Amino acid sequence: MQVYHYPENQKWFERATRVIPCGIYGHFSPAPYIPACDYPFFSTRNEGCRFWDIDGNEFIDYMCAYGPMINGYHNPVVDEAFINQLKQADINSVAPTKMVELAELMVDLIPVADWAFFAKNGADVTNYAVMIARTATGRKKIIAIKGGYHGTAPWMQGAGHPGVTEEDVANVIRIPWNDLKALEQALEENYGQVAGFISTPYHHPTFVDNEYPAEGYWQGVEKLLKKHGVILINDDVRAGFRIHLGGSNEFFKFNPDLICFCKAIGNGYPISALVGKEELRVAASKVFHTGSYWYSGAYMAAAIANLNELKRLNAPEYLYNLGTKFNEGLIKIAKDYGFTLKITGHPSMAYYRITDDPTMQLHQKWCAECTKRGVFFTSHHNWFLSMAHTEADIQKTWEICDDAFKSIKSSV
Amino acid sequence: MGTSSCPFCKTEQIDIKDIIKSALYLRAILPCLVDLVQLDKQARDLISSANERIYFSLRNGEKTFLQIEDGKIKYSPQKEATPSIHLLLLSPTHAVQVFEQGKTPLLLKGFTKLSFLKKGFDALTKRLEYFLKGSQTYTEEEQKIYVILQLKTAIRAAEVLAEKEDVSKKILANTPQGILKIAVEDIDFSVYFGYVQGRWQYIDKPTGQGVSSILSLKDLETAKLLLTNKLDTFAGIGLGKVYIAGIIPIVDNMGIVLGRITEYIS
Repeated sequence: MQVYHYPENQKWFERATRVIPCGIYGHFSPAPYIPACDYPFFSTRNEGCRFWDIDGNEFIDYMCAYGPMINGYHNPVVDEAFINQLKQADINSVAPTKMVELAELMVDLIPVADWAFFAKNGADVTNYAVMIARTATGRKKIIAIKGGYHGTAPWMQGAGHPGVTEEDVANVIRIPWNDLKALEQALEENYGQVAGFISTPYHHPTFVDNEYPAEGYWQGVEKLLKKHGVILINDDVRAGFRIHLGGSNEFFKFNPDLICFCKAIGNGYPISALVGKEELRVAASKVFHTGSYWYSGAYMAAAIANLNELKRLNAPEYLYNLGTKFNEGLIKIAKDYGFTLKITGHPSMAYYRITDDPTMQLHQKWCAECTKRGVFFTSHHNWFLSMAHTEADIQKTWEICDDAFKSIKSSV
Repeated sequence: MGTSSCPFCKTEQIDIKDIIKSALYLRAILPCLVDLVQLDKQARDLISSANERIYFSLRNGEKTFLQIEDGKIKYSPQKEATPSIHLLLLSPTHAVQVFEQGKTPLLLKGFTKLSFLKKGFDALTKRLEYFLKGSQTYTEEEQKIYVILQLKTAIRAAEVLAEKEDVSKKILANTPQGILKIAVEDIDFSVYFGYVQGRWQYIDKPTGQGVSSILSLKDLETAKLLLTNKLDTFAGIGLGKVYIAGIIPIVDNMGIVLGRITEYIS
């Protein structure tokens, strides 16, 4: 099988390093690509579940822009809604009516929601959720899960990380996932001081296997939080609308006070949302939180079209079934070459790890070999499926994965 | 930062920064004399005829034992034999003053060795300082020595921070246990840091337990940029000057701990 080379990507990257810190910053930086020379850095075009890099290499995309793409790149329904609204008005001096329509749609779609608020990125709404919890309770502290990611605001990073002071994280208590005793202890030790508990619906950190909630975990969490008057914040930024259209808490059967959404709302058009219960409406109204681009009508129109498409196509069921089939095939191919591929998390956005090498270098090599052959896999972040991935794409992916396993088998 | 006494219990309260700094001098910097004389002929010549056992002891604290013999130095964190020279550091603050301001340590043994201390050993530490401070005028060979000594000092310093500094302790408590190899490819040099025998520490050469993470620098120039805090590491990865593999959180978190050394020594 032919493998890709990236001379133009390299040229552009060199150019980028002269004017941009990291060359490419944040989660798109080359750091998660191991080795970086086996990965593309810049794309020029995308369509459906594919993108093409600056060298013209074609990839079936299993990162889906790290989550935002769910209905396929250049989805005609979503794009048309965006363009139509853009022609009328996008950014303006007063709010668009699309904002009201989108809020109404989300309130109807999401059982927990009595109101909705819109911003641009996930961190905009995780920050807002925490501020609302503090306002509603008059308390300072927030409990979060060790390894849980809620954005890059200083309070959500670790002390000692560049740009983060000890004061920034002084009011954040980290406890292990699935550990009710630790939660109880944290609540008792900080009695009357905890405003909110923020967590993803299941544990999907980078670098480690993903974990579902243990039987009775969420019910136990709710009971403890209720006893202590603590607000439950579901950070559904990554998983939202992939697992359940009413919020992933519906799938895992718990009842949060606030849910943070981003990623899949707009199929790539930048928008995030916080929805909440009636009891928190006044607290939400008291917190001043805004941004220059948080009233863009075209992005809201895209989100409405996207959510309606997900509903029409019953997206979570399609993604679950496709993911289950995809994963079964991958496990079998790995086994044929004598490898064990462990797959954790929800099948629509699972985490993959070859367990035969504790240093992960074998897994990193396999992901790189797959990418060089045309399926874009990163080593330590969960992958994503989309409504644009078909059985034919899965079949082609299996063939590439097979060849990549053959390649690493010969080098072991 | 100095010391202050508690008005209630009359005990001396010692600044944590001085505790860490004194440990860095005794456990990260002085041990580098071993490497210095291996790598640098000029340093080796300074001690070619010396036969001394120098013992630095910080009261209620770190110890450094240096055995100088046949143009070589051996280091131990405890007294290995009867010292010919015993230098007492009364407190962490005193130790910092000795190493940073030239204040005199208390000489308990070795009154007849003053000439060696003032000439040979002093010249040796100045030679070490020449490499640890950095210079724009290094020869090619000196550049290599500079990079090796800097990396070894940094890794030994990381061990001290892992043990004594709260922030580093927290970071490493949340780091997967394993061994990190830091390599400079063009001079075929490697140094190791990892979780062995229940603690994070400098490792001379890993035995038994394999390397779990790699941070490999393509050449001396890249290493020098890294050490002088002038390397954009992510850009370096994309440009192929820096290679990382294995358990990446170890690389990431060690980067944060190493970055904290300059809070104490520069």
